Amino acid sequence: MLPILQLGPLALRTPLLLTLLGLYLGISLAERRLPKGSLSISQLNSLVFPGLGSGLIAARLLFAWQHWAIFASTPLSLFSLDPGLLDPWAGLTVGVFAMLIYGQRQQLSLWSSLDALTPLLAVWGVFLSLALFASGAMYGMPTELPWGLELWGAKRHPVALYQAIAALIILIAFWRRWGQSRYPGQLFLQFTLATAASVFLVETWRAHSPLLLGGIRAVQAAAWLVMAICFWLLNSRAKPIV
Amino acid sequence: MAIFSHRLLAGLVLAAALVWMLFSRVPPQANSAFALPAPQKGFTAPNFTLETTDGETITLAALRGQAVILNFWASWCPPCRAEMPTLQALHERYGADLVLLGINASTQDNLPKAYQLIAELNLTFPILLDSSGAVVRAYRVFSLPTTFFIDRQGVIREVVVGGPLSEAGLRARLEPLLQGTP
Repeated sequence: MLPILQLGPLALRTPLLLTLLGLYLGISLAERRLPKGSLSISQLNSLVFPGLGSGLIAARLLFAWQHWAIFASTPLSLFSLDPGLLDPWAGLTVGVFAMLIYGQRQQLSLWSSLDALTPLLAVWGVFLSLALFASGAMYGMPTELPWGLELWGAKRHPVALYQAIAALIILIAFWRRWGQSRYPGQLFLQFTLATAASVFLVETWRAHSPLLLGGIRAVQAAAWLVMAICFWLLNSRAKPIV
Repeated sequence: MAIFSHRLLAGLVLAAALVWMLFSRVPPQANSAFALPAPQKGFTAPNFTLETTDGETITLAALRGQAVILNFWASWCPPCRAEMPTLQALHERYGADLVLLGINASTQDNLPKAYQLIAELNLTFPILLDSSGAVVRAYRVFSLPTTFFIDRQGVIREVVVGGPLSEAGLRARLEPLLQGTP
């Protein structure tokens, strides 16, 4: 766990640094491995950056809306660099919608665009898991296994590291396949299926899982649903057109 | 034929995953693990007893039932200095509803300079002196300032590493704690 990287007088937030580094490397890889005849580099960037920008703005505005009394008395806080003043789910939703709207206006194929974005998601997945490890926010159940790490009062499963290793294995497994879908969407769906399966498995050892009725882990249930949808879409999209 | 075998494989994987999901259910008593004291969101805040600059002794556990903010600082740290006026304003705004404790990382600070800063900024909230560094170690403070938001049950609800925290940042994190039942 390394939440802060101290470089002389500079205290850098390691999780934020890893998230941004992952984004940069992911975009660079996606640009180099674009599927032939799908998107151009400028179209890819026009898809990613407005999506990120609008997501960020929406995350701040919706957080401010939920705390309007505070922001009304300190309106300059809208421009605060504090990442805690963001609503991440609102940002994600609006960012995805902005990308969908842009793609539709540019008449981009949804499935080809998703295939083009897959390398970015694969690299980002590794770095986001490392960011969670650095922050200590994702920790496992107590264990006596030799690779358990001392964290928060107990020796625990390093679940963020498990997730990072799984994401790295997925990245390596797909490395030679970027831009090589048999049909549009195949690569994205297979990647999503593999990622959902890894999240499903790693969640088994996570300590602070949100729970559903009967102690079922909510993240596992969501991952199972994503796996089922991916299987169904892979099956229906692979059918030969008669 | 290939599609049929893919369907069979998908069905088997999903069925196995369902069994695994039931097998890895969390037993109800597992949540008691979070009663452990640890300096992390969701855990009980580690207890400590420290002396203030006025010679008063404060024990964190005795403050159960009140929302508490712990702010670790040192006089040489520019973001710590920058957020002190905001913390003072917060102390004045919320009065008795909030216990705001400034914990001086005394092993890393020059005490006369710390006292000078307290006087210069007219800080009236309690400043505790961690002379042995034990509380800094117990809270795993890697960087200054670090701020902990603790609810009325003594559970850490948010940890902010670095600063300076804005008034909006402090109030947005504090107000959910104040809404909790005493």
